[in-house]
Amino acid sequence: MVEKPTQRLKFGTLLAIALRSFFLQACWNFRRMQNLGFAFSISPLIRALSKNREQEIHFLKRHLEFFNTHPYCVSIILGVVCQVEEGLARQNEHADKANRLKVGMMGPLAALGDTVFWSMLKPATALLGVGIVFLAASQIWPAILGPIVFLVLFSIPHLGLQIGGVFSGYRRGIDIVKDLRRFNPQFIARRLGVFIAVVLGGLLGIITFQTSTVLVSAQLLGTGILLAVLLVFFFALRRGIGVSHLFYGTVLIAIGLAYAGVF
Amino acid sequence: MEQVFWLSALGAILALDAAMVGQFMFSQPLVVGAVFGYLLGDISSGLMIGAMLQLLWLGVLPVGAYVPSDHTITGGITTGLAIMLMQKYGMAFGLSLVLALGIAIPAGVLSGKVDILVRHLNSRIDGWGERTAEKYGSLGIAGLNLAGLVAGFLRNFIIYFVWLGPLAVALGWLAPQVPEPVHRALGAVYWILPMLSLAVILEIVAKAKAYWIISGVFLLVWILLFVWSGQAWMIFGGVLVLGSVLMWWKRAW
Repeated sequence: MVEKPTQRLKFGTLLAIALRSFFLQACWNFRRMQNLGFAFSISPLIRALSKNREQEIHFLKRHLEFFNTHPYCVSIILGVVCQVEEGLARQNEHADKANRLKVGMMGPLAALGDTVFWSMLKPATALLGVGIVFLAASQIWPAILGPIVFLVLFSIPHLGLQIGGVFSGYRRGIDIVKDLRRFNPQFIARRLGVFIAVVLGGLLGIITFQTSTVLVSAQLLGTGILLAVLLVFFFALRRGIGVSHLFYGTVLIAIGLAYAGVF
Repeated sequence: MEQVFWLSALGAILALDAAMVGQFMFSQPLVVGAVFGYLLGDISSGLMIGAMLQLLWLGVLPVGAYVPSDHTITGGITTGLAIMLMQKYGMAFGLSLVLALGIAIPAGVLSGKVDILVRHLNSRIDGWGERTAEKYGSLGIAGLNLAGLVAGFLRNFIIYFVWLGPLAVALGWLAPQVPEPVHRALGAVYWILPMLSLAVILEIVAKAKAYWIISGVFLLVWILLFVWSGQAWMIFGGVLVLGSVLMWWKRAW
């Protein structure tokens, strides 16, 4: 265990690392995945701690090892690595403790990021944005709020984690692992799942009500047809049929129905 | 062609956000649709197209080494093509959207395949990592990352340019030759497309309790709209409040 050292890294260095972390996947490769992006992100620390060029090269090469995690959660790992590397540099050690920490943290943080951001937060905020555009129909003013609401609601936790994560990771060091262990991503995912279900039900009601009469004149029958189509799509998706295939299949069926004189 | 060049360049830059830079969500169809719509002078259509496409591929997650088709490019190309078809050939909104989407989906698939090649190329670049670090230090590593970005930009730009340039011209020539029943069929698909989008979200939240919530809210909203058909905004606001409250009710999850 590395002792918690006096922290001396400047605010600017940590901010530069946080901003560079946005380029983590610029050169994502099948060999060592995000390693080049990680080395690029950690470069300000390397320049701050290295006393000579040999040290800088040695430091840089150590951080060119295999690395892969969720691109938002990397900030926490970067912060922890900053604290550990700073401590090692002060003790004049060049052991590979930082790399072991990276390997230990990247898997759980990838799972956390995928669960919270990709599986739930993105669908929830996107659904909200799409709902606003659908409701506004062809009126530009409220419709433009759709992408804005989506971007703002998604960016607050994203930017908060990606910039704040470096500072928290640096301040707390490897103790942050204990905090993360207490944090349950399923807790957030379940809540967002309920929110998505409610908004989905609402949007389904609004869209079927507004578009049902386009297909057939009777509103109730039109709603029934749209719901039946929704269920067919849903069960097809559950059986692993892709969206693109469903789209082309629908086009073909619609052409067949049009030639049969249905519409 | 100048307009196509600049649209392709902007689209290629926005598409970098999908995986390579930031992932700020600028590459999402809802945002790209608004930007392309504004640049092509029809922001209202751009927004609607973006909204139609936003939810379609949300279930596809870029986890680990898996490289899915690039549907952010599909979204951008669909918006550009659909607005061009409406403006240049006077086609109806729904018809141009479905035609454009049908042409743009292969662009996303191709982009995903080329992405795999770019990542293999990046593996070669990674092979120079240690040597570059020894020779040029941190600056060299920044250069290698820049090389990856350039490769990604070129991939996006070429695909955008081919689809919005020569293919758009070919589509403009082909579209008027399409028989009337096919026109009617594509117009009908436009009205069904939101159901596919909502089915994708339904699949994401698929579990017994969610079905009850969705069905209950759907019935409530449909009946409220039947009574007050002009109050859709207020009802949607009520849905958001209900969603925010239920989130904190333990029995709901």
